[in-house]
Amino acid sequence: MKRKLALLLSMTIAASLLAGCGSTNANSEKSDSLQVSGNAVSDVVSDDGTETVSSNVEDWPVVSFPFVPVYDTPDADQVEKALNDYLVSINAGVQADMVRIDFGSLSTTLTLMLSSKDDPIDLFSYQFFSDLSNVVQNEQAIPLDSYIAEYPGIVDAIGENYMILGKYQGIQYAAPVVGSHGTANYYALKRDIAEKIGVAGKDGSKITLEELDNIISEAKTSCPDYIYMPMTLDLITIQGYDTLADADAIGVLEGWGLDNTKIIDYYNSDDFTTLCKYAKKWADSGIFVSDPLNQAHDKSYMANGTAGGTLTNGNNINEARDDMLNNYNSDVVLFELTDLIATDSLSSGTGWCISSVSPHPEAAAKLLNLMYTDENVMRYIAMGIEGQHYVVGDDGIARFPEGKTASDVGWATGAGWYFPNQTLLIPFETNNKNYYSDVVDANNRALKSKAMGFIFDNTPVHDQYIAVDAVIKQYRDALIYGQVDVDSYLKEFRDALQEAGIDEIITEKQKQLDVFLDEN
Amino acid sequence: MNMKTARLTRSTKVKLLKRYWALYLLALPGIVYLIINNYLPMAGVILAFKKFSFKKGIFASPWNGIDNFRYLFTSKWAGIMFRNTILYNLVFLSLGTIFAVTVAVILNEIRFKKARQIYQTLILIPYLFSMVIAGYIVFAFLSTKGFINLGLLKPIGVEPVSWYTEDKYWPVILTIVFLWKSFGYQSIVYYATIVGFDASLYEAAMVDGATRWKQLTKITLPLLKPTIVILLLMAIGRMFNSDFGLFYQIPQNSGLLFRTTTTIDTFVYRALMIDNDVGRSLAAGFMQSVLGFIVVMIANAVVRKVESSSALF
Repeated sequence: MKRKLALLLSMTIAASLLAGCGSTNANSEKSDSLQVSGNAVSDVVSDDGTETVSSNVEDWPVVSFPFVPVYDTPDADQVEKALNDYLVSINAGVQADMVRIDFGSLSTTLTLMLSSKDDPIDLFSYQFFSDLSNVVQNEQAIPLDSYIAEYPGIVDAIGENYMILGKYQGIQYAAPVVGSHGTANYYALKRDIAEKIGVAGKDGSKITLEELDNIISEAKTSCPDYIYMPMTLDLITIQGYDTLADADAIGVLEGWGLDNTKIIDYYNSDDFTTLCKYAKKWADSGIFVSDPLNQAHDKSYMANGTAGGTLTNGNNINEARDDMLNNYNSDVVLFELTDLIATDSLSSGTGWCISSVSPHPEAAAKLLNLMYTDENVMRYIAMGIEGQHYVVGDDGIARFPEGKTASDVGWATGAGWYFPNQTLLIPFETNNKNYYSDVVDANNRALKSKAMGFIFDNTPVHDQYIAVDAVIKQYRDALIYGQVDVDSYLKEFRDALQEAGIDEIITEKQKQLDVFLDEN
Repeated sequence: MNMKTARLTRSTKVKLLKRYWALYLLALPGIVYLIINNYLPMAGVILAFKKFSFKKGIFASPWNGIDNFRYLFTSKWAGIMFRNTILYNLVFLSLGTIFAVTVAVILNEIRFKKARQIYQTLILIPYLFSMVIAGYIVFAFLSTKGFINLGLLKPIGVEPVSWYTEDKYWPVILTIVFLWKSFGYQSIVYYATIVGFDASLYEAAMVDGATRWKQLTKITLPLLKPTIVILLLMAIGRMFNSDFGLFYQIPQNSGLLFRTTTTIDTFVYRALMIDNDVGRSLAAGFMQSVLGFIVVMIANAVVRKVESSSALF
């Protein structure tokens, strides 16, 4: 009796263990049987007759793409249905399947979907997930050149000049997101402090690094309770360098690469010595937060009242001012530190790809084209349903419906920047009704680095790269936050960089940049 | 053990299977679990020798020999990280064991039950903290405006120390944090063993007039030895691994401390933050496991030579 019981028990346990393994495909049929209102649409052939679309909506390919919301999206099915109804109404020949991926699991989920044959994703953005070179090297994206030739509207939306942001080794692998590519740098000082030290009248004027040093030193003397430099890394850009989208700034271009393509070692330059000396002075006089090496470096110190001033940036001075007012609760006087510059480091530089596992890339390209060119498609995706998820005021600005906020509106309204073309949207929760035309305008006006779109492939010097990166992590922050003696540590830092092989990286980078410049 | 009885004939094996089949069946779910969870994924180790492509998958990706291992050995960090990993582990193993055994013995001497329970709980609490929290507790002590600088050094007139920029203090700091965090758990393991010892041994010793010290050195420690050896052997297998939280969160990834806080794990983590390369991270893990395996085999062989009953296998 006991034995039989034992047998029964162990078999049950074994069976329940194995049961977990085989049933992962239960949901994979879901996307194919996507609900579509009305089973068939009337037979429509496009006017010029070149393109025929199946009359049966159920035959239309379903293209999946992710969205990455922060809050609950209970209305996801409704929005998807509205979008698909619209796609039917324009006889698009393609249906959409919006896949919710939570921010925290983005990297895991997307990686799995990009290598899955059973549950593939068709379109994806590499923002927050990876970068173009990794996506290409991991063979997660396919070349887009032929599709883009088919849909010239994509290029018009992005701008010929900026298409290069999605190119890797001469091949277009991604369609860059239409966003802000150019940035001007400012120093923001709280208005009351500026008035107290008598510089409020210089609001909007251009200053040098030396003048900036004078202003913050004076501010510190008269209002000593604040810090005035929560972050310093942007100073590399302000000193006039294009860091080529390398957070480590290993090998940079002087003069923002506007008319200069010779890569130099920033850490061996006089400008870096100057920066370190300022940093030491600022650290000693309490202009940095205390224990800067253990703290985050961002503008949030303005919002919580720790900082009296900070470096900031924007498309133009009004945007920078609005940003400070709306997001950091600070009324500020702004001093301009650089012109409107477009480099890879300053660009929002992300893009959308067609995945290599997509079973129907043509359909994916078709939907991608609509996301760049059809404002209704973009508005469903990034804003939801009008009246339910947003309302448009008389001033032409969209806002959350009365009494609703991002957390309970039911859709990820306001996340336009994640999707291909936010400039098709209605400006949302802002004071500036020209918000998106300002973005486009800034992109047109910005001075462009010659190296824009250049992506360094570190494979040939990978071991040196890792060694140099470790050296930079070891010394740089301590130096640019003034935590150590400049002369002795700077020498040690430079020697360590040499020993780790920074020159070989710079030579290789120059070689690749020259090839890049020849190709484009 | 006699070799003849150890080697089973085929017929006795069948007999054993017949007699104990229900027990084997009972073990089946566990075995299935082990195979699925611990053995099947081992095939993935081949990725350490491949250039992984998401499109081609694990088996179709091209081989690239030992390329994935190269970054571990080519820079000056190779020497530093191996030295740190091994030395810290040696210090942690020796001091940790001595500390834990001492505390276990002391716990055993406490006669008042309530007090013993309170102490047991108190020493276990640090073990339950996440390293991130521990990192902030340490920061509260060591920051420029922290307890040590303002509360201890200032009153006695000593200049404040910038702890997060001076690497020479960190071997001591990390050892203290490690002991503080881990001794509770280890002591309780040893204490549980001591509690299980036959009380009549101690009674007999007392009748013979043995002092407490004699009881400790002649009864408790010898009886505890097999447990210590087994725990040590298991720890030695992780000789080339380090507690990532301890070495990353406690120094708060401060660059100036890298010389004394970089271990293999933190180096690999930082290196792979640049390009999340599956092959290279597997290469590092594979190397740590293989080296750990070799060290365990050697240590076990030594133990078997000296005292075969304490050996793991």
